[in-house]
Amino acid sequence: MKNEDLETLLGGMNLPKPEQLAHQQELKIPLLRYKRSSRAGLWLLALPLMFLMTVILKYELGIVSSVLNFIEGLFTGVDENKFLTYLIPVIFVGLPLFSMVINLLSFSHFAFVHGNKELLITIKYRPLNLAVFLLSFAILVFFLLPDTLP
Amino acid sequence: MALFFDRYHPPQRNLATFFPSPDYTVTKKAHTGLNEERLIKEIQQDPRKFAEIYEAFYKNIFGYVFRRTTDYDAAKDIAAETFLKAYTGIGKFQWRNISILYWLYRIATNEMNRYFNSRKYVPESLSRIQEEYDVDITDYSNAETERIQMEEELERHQEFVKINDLLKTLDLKYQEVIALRFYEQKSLKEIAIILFKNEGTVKSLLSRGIEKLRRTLPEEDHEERRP
Repeated sequence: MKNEDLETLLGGMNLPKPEQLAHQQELKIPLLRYKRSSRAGLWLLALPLMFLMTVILKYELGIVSSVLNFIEGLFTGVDENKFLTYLIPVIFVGLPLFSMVINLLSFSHFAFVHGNKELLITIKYRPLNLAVFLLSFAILVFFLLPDTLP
Repeated sequence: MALFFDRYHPPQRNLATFFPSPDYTVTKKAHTGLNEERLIKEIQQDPRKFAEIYEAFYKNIFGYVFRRTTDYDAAKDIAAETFLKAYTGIGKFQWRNISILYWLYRIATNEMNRYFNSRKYVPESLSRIQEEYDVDITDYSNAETERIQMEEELERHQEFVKINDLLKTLDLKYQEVIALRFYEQKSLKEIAIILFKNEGTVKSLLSRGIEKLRRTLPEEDHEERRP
């Protein structure tokens, strides 16, 4: 058989064609409800993390850099501005708190059983969401802790 | 374009050479009659609109995967994984006058490469969705009936099954182009878009693939079909 003959054979071959696919609808709803929350959580932490890293690098490790000064100046500018100063609690408390909540919801499941009057809490093993949750919590604690603590 | 061919397989080639002229477009309104450009914009605002893409193209993708794997369960998993990846990645999709179907074909092809290369294929995104919603979409009331129907469909196409078994012995790069050309009836240009290769490379792979497939045919086939 020549290659051309095989091409003709392949081109004229009857092919199996799935017609009625009942399973198509089974997948549709869970697929369209699927969301990723850990990434959203990470984006929410970008600004507080940037400030936190600046503080650690500059004041804890003593690194002197114009970039660090610039970032610090940026946040100081926002803080000293009469209107923008209201953004500070949003950035350092609101965003990590929101990130904590969405990640907590992504790996936990709450169900109230009416008959037994029980609240069932299920924690799913989702390492990424758990990591972002803990990171958000750590950032929140850092910014909420009073400076006077030893 | 980098965003068109999803983040799972970043391009290695200069795109200017891949699309030689600005009017190099492959739009197939005949696919579904969907206004895909508008639909993609709408999906980016309201992800639930993805259902239209799903309804329009699921059968194409499932059919493609089923014809290549000839395994109902694997085809179902791979098709589901394909749409899940498309759904989560569509926010970055940019319309370039190329039907979204080609993007879906590409994701499905990559998933099948994973399937053929691993002893135990795990559709990762699908596993997550099943875990998250405590549902097993691979187990539903009509599954057994549908599986039997699909197996019967294969039995009615013995010549296809025989050729496909031989095709599976070839390298994946040949399997891809032959399947897209002859099972999915795609042109060289369309295959080039799906596989993100030059048209010349596709032509060469197809020619070599057919030659290799011919060599795998049993002797009696050579004799029977000899003019």
